Amino acid sequence: MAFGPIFRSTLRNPTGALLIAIQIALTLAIASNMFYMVNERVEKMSRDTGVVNEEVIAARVFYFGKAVDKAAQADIDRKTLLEIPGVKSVSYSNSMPLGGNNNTSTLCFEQESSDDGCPHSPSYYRSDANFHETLGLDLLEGRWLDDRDTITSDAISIAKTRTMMLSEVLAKLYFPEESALGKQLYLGGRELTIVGVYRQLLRPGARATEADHTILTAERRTSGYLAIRVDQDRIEQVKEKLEATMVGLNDQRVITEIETMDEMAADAYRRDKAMVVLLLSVVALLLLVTALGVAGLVSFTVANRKKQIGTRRALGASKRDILAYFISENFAITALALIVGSGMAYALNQYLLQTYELARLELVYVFVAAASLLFISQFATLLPALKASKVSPAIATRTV
Amino acid sequence: MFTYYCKLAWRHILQTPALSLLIIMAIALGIGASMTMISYYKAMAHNPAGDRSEKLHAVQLAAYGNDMETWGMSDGFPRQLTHQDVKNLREANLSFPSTPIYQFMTVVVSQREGVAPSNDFAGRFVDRDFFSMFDVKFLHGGPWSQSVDEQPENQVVISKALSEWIFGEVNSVGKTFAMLDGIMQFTVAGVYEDFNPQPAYYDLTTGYFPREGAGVFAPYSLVEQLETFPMGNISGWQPEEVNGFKDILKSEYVWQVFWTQLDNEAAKAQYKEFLKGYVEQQRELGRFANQNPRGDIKDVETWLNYNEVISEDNRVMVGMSLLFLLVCLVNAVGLLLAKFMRKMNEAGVRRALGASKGQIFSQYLVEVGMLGFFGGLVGLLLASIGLWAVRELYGTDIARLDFSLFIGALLLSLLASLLTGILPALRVCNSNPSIFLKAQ
Repeated sequence: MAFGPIFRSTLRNPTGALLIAIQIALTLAIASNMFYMVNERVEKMSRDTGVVNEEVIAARVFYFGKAVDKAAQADIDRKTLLEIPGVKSVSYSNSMPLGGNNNTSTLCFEQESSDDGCPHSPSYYRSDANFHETLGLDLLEGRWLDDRDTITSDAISIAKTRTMMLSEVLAKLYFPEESALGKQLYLGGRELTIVGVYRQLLRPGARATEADHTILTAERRTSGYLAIRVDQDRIEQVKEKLEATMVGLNDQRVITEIETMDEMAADAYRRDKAMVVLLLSVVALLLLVTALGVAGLVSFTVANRKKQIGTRRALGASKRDILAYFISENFAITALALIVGSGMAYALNQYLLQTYELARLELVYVFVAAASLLFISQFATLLPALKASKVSPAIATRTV
Repeated sequence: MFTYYCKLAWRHILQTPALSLLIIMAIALGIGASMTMISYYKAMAHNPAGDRSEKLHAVQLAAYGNDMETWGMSDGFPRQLTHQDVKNLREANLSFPSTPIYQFMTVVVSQREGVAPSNDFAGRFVDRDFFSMFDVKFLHGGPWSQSVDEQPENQVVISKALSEWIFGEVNSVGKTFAMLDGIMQFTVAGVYEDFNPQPAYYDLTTGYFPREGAGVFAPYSLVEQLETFPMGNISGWQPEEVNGFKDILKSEYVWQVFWTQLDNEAAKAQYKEFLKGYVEQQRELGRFANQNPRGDIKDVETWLNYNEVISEDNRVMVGMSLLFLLVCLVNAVGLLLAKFMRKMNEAGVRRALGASKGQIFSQYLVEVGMLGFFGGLVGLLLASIGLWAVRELYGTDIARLDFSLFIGALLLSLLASLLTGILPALRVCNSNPSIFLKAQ
């Protein structure tokens, strides 16, 4: 297929081609940036919590009224809940991954806090010693926390030896060269010894960055978050009866926010999901509008060139030639527009980068967007081009 | 002439239904998407304080030591205040209305049959001035008396919803109910029309667009004796051991906000001067040991921007939707060209019969305007669907189309369509009529 005549005829009347090109270039710039924003959110939403999500229920327990021996009540809770068929593990904790009540504190190399000595602020979990078992965390190094490590909440300030576990990421950040086991770090001015490292446990809340900076300490807890691990096929049953069971054991408390981990994730990521849905709908509409626009403009060109098409047909061009002519004209315009468009995509990304805290656009998103645009543009050309190929050669003789 | 052009335009639209529909849809989609995002943005950017916006001021203090350069927000102030500072500001007894605020969780006991105690109604500790400063509308009773701000009494002001939930009736002034631990008794001093300004500018530390407003306001003077922990953000610049409520009161942790009403420039200057003196005095006592100890006041508008109530996501989406509108308009230009080219010969006849270029041009612009108007109407329909989707997705009740947005959308689509129509209309009126006359 010779592109020479195509270019010349396009240049004779460039308005239509120019409009297609502008539209495609703009669409590429917008769509590739949107694709990549969507991907960023999807990656955030699908990150590993470190928890066996499908088996865990959490609820918040809040006491009121007459003084209750909460410690004794918590023991009764654990025992009673464990007797329910399907329940594998029960523990109390101050917070839950992706949940509320985020406790963060600077973690320092030395007792005196300073900017260099306290490089990170992890979230810390103050939980029953078996919290890891309830959530189904993975041990990488050392040992899990147990009764030896457990202190009561009011003894925190007087406890002499305190222990903790770190997430893998945090352990590597503080001790990049060596094992973190047995090392000491300072939390709120108090020394804690690292006894183990677990693979992953997300922070409470839905932070985008440093979400895996967490530490785990053992405390005998009596209220706050109640976490329960249940066989997957019993989880709904247990969830339904939980409030009645807990209030039945002691009515001086309120049980709220009873949710599975999946429901907690849905709450935590609500804004991200909204953004993904909105971006994807705009991308879909954008591609649709572009497709319709290309189809419209090509049929306009076809209508304009009816005479020429008839002449070419009369001079011996086959239907295929006419079809190929329009398809390759569109290919040339689209390809040029895509090259300009990828420049615009980077320019737009540069602007977003400077104005908002967005990451740099990766080439793959431009490719994906460009490939889909090329396909859509060619596909949209097909119908009007087919119509053009059906122009009768006789038309050439009629209207001159 | 205008009506004649309108008639012609309407006839043209009917003659090329498919193309016209495509043009209308292109404009409508662009308008629909951008109006959805603009309305949502506008709802977030709303300043609920109205004419009190320039009078109410949030107070901030750079209350950190350790010779730190900066802490808190970008301008070196934390968003909240320590209890020590709030206590001192309260007791300074300046003549300006002012109130501290912090949120607490409470269990409330209903007096209706078979209703279990609930902690769904959050409370806030405030001073009496809060109600006039933030324009809380009372249905029955009113705020507690001035003396309660100094001599604590178990009096509270509750929302209409809470009054109905506890007592089964709206007017509960003078009645008592159990709150906090579910045993302590409080007397209702007033019942207010449910109060939930969006954004919740009076206390942004507990979420910008809460679904429910506060259920109960209790006198701040009760704080020290009730020992109720805050439900909200607590932050500190140095590690401190907190094992009880007494510790947090003495600590350097920040966890409360403080508002004061300054009606004019003189009052503002006076307050700034007061803060300056206060910081000096505290510095002598060994606090505020940083490189730039100072205080600041910010009015409501400044405060909303400072707290970045409008999220980055919203700004990005507005920009993206406007770019989408641009693509739709480029699209419409192409479709209009196609549409007008089909009518070239008619324009040729009119030109031959004596119509001027200007007349042809305006005739086609009227047609474009009409398409734009229809596009705008359909766009508004799409925008209301879009806004419904936004409300569902974000789980909020804000962001609805109002009259100004309605007019704005129609104007925007008219303007946009006229802009897009210029090129195609010029093409028509500049073409040589003889070509088309020959082809007939």
